[in-house]
Amino acid sequence: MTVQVLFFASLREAANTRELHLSLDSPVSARALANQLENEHVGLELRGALCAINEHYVHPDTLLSEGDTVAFFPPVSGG
Amino acid sequence: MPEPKNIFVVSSEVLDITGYMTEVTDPAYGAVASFVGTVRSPNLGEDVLYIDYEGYEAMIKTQMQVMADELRARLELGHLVLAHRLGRLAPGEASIAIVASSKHRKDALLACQTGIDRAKDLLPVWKYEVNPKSKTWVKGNSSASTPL
Repeated sequence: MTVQVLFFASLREAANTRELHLSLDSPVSARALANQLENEHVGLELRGALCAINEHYVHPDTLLSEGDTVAFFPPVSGG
Repeated sequence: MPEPKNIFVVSSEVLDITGYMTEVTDPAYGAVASFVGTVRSPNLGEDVLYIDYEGYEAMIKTQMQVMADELRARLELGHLVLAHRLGRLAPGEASIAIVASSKHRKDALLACQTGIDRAKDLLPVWKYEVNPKSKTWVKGNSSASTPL
């Protein structure tokens, strides 16, 4: 299945990209995807990051589905 | 009674606070309240040159809808504007605005207070603060969800 991955703020800087398109062999959780991304991107540390799928916050153990957009970002500081 | 409306704004342009007040004002509602957050300087003892606001624009609007639904479930509101500015802001410029009308004052006032608290929890926005000595991402808040 394919998913879109987005990074923001300091994680965008660490990943050196804002957006990735990935093909995954089997359904995985956001946490498993995060582990995979950390292994593939030296310097990317996702511990403490928040995850969202399709613009809604999710628990890291949520499974991804075909076509999902999953975003990883630091704790928010808007306002 | 007019249909209550939500207006969500995410923009790199100057926030039109006066325009938002006009949008929510309606004869059916006797109260209009607003909260406006601005860039503060000094911050932590240092003069702020500017703040770059980065945001996940599509998700900001989705989460503004979540906020509006929460507020309307608790409060009897008329019209509601939720606005967040992105991009580079100088000290004193408005970064966020919550403007609400209601039949009576209490609901509009509470919408501003509760709304800014929820905005700081939910809206995916990050501040990069620049002062004469340093450039740093402002430490954020992860109460919206369980972090990795």
